[in-house]
Amino acid sequence: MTNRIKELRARNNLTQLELAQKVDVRRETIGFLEKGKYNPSLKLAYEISKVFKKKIEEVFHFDNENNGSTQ
Amino acid sequence: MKTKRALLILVGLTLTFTAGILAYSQMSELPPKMMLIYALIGIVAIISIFIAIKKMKEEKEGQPADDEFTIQIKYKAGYYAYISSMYMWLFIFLFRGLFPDIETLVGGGILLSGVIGFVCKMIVKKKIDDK
Repeated sequence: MTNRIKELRARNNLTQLELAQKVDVRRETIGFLEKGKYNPSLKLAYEISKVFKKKIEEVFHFDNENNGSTQ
Repeated sequence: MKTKRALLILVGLTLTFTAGILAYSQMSELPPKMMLIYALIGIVAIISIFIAIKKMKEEKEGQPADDEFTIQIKYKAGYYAYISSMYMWLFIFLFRGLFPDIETLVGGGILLSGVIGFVCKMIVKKKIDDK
């Protein structure tokens, strides 16, 4: 799974800590998400998309060729 | 969560103090095995203080103590720590003759379990980071 969190965060002038506070997770979780090393739960994916006012599929992309969990 | 942090600091300071007093009082006739136990107490104490300070800093920033990612790490690390601790106890009982008494054996085992838990957490996190 890939995502556009870093790009959208930069567009919205948000730091990792600010985004983490908005979705009630730790800053390191945002870091791992951005690096694609952690796949979020549906709830967290929804919360993040809501912050950027986007649909989940606009923020997170499911890669069929590499569909194993990164965790 | 503040209580948890305060407890961690208290445990850390108590352990450091106890280890310090014990080591000082028996400095001249301290056998190497006991020195190892005191070193272990010291390591656990330092880890507790370090974690507590880090958590307090993060709390000031408004970060939650746990989230879905850290809970997953804890579950995974807990599993590895459990398996490793079983082997550790097996070795402790195999080499029980090395321990002066049963209290040292059990105390050392419990302390080592704490260290194993911390190390497993670090390894799991590092493994995810290296992927």
